[in-house]
Amino acid sequence: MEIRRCPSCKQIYLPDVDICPACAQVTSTVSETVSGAGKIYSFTRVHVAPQQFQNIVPYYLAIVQLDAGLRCMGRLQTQEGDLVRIDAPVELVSSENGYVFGLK
Amino acid sequence: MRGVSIIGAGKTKFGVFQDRSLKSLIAEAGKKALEDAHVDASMMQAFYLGNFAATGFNRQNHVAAYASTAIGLPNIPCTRTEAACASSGAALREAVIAVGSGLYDFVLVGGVEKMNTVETPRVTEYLAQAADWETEAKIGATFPSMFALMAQRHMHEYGTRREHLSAVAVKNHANGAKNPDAHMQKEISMDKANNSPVLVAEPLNLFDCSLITDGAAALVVCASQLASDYSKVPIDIVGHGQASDSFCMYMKSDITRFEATIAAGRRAYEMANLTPEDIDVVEVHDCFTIAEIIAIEDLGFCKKGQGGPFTLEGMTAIGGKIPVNTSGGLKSKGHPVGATGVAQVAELVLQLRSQAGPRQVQNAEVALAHNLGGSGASCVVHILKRRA
Repeated sequence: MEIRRCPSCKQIYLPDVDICPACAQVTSTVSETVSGAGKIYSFTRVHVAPQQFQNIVPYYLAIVQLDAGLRCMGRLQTQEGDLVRIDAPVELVSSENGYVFGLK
Repeated sequence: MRGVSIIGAGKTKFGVFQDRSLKSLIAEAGKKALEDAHVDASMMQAFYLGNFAATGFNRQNHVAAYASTAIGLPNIPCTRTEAACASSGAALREAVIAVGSGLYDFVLVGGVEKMNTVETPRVTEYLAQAADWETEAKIGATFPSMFALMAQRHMHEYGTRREHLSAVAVKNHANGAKNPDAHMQKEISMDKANNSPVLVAEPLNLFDCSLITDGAAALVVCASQLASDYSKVPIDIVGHGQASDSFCMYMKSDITRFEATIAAGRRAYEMANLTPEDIDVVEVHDCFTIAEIIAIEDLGFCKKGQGGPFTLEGMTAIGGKIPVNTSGGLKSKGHPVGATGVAQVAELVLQLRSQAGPRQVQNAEVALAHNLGGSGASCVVHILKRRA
């Protein structure tokens, strides 16, 4: 999975952060590839959704604590019999249009 | 900074008003506040308006000047504040700073939202614009889902249970049933709140969520030294605080607390030289039941993690240790987003003047209002005191 790292202070961010907020000087972050593995920090199953997600309700949404050391929000792809719980290990499945994780 | 006081409060009924316009709502609230303060519109020197999403709900922008014309204010500076659900709490604080600085003696503050113009999925979409589009809303995060994530984690860390969430809803509906201006003046049972078949974002069901409401509220604030000329019971604003926090929820190190609430509360308590023990009545931002539980913890009314049991034991009911959301809260009174912060203060003005009727808290002298924006990226707290 792609993240960004500030070459000056070494802080890591999601790809939408191209200028480091922590540094006083304008510093461009640099792309880096890390493991998409992590565990669930919290989760919910969404039943009432905006128009563009009507076709996939109900869907799981989770905050994932990545092994790389930062958190992100993503949808969870689940299969029959999956037990979604806090601390369950997950892995990135897709990042094409937002993050989608699957249980490991 | 000199002292600032509230001398007038006005609000519309809250509810679903298909036949009323945005301008009609703010005109009614503004005129009622001026009438309550026994002042003329021509005396106002500035106007601050909180509004979140008229661009979406009403195809209307430039809303402060729009509202000023509707109320009939003179050609004074009109400024809109937008901080998601804390939009009008922020408007009030700007007015307090402006009067406190000595620039103005009389300022009108308003808040308005007319949300029942589109279907629920569209409302959900507009509200989600208070979250980060790129990393939250784009993947399907909604406001209920944000607070559901907090609830799930709070349950995991502190043992908060379904019945604790329901206790907030039951208590706030009991209070709202006594408020003739509330959107839903109806009591609900514990059983009903626990077992709603309508799931919104698990573990939150229909009864954990505030309402989609139309409404407006307004306040007249003035220099404290002039207040007693206009009001028999001036309400002094003795403390205020505003704070922000990481914009995205996943960036927060701990989603069972709101750093913005903790910081805004601390600033307000320090300015007022008061502690949570000194507060007699509170309006907190219960956009979802879990939000009230976290707010009473963050503001120091109970220990961290104990907000659920504290509520279930009746400590926050009228007649309890610290009555919370006597108006019915956002849960039962309703949540016209941009109007909420000012409406909370309007309720507390009634309480401090002993005009709250069947929901009156006995001997209420000091009150606190807590207005939260987004998933906690903005917070505004005001502390009010009845002048002795």
